[in-house]
Amino acid sequence: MSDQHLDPVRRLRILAGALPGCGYVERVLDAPFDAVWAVGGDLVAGVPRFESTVSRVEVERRDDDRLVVTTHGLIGPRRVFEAILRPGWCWMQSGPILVGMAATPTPDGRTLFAHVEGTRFGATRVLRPFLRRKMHRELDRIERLAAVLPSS
Amino acid sequence: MTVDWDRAATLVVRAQRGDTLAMSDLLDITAPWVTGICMRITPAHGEDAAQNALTVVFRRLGTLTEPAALRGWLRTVATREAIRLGSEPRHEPLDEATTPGDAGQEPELKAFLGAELARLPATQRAVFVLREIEGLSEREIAEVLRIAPGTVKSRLARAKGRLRKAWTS
Repeated sequence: MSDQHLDPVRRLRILAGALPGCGYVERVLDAPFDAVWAVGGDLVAGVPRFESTVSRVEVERRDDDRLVVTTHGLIGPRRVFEAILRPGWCWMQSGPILVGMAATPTPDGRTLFAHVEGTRFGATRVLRPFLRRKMHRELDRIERLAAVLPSS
Repeated sequence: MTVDWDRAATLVVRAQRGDTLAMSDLLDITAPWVTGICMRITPAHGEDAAQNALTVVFRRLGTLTEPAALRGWLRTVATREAIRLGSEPRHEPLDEATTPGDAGQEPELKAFLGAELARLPATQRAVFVLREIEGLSEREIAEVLRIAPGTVKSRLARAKGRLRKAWTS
């Protein structure tokens, strides 16, 4: 019996559904998976280009798909995240702060992309509309960057 | 699909303490197993059923007092959700990956089982899958599906009778 896999976007829906302090958005980006993930999955070069609150990301340690990364913000303190990163999947936590991204190819050659931001706790429930608008702007930027960056 | 349930129980405890990386790992090791159960019962809606079942369980993970009970809980929720989504009468094609039997099974028998299982009502298919693939007892199946043991017996008999009749015809 072969394994039955759920694609990364379905998995991110499950985690987002279990974490009431997180906002969640997903939509189809008009670019192929490789180009989209070359942006979204590149924490060092990609994230500072679409995440407006982050100016620089450094990978402190990497062991297979497990990373420790430090983000430097335009304002506020630097943050150390533990992360799981592999093609189509990124999940990061730093204290109460959570960030997730997932992507899967669509049959027509585009990419279904999902994004989560929030906290482990329910306190940011009131901020969800703000988070969703912020994340949609980030998806806009990822789509634009994917259109001009070479795919891997 | 073999799941390391001892590791899963450890991840449940970490997840209950707020470690979302453990939640991600727990999803990695349980999702294929849950999806397998759902796909065998309702190939057309198996991924939706698995997603719904896992969402319910992960949302309520904090209420699980005995981490070792995760396996039974997941199986129960997944089976019920797969039956719910697959309850409309339809002829669902089962591909090779959703066909019961081990890798060494005769291809002809495998294809036959796949085609004939797809013709069973979801309720009969669920009982057959839980008994013949998951290896549950009739009493355990009754508990999972919240039906009388006699109903399990009769659904299983009808499913097997139908398969036998199709095989010999």
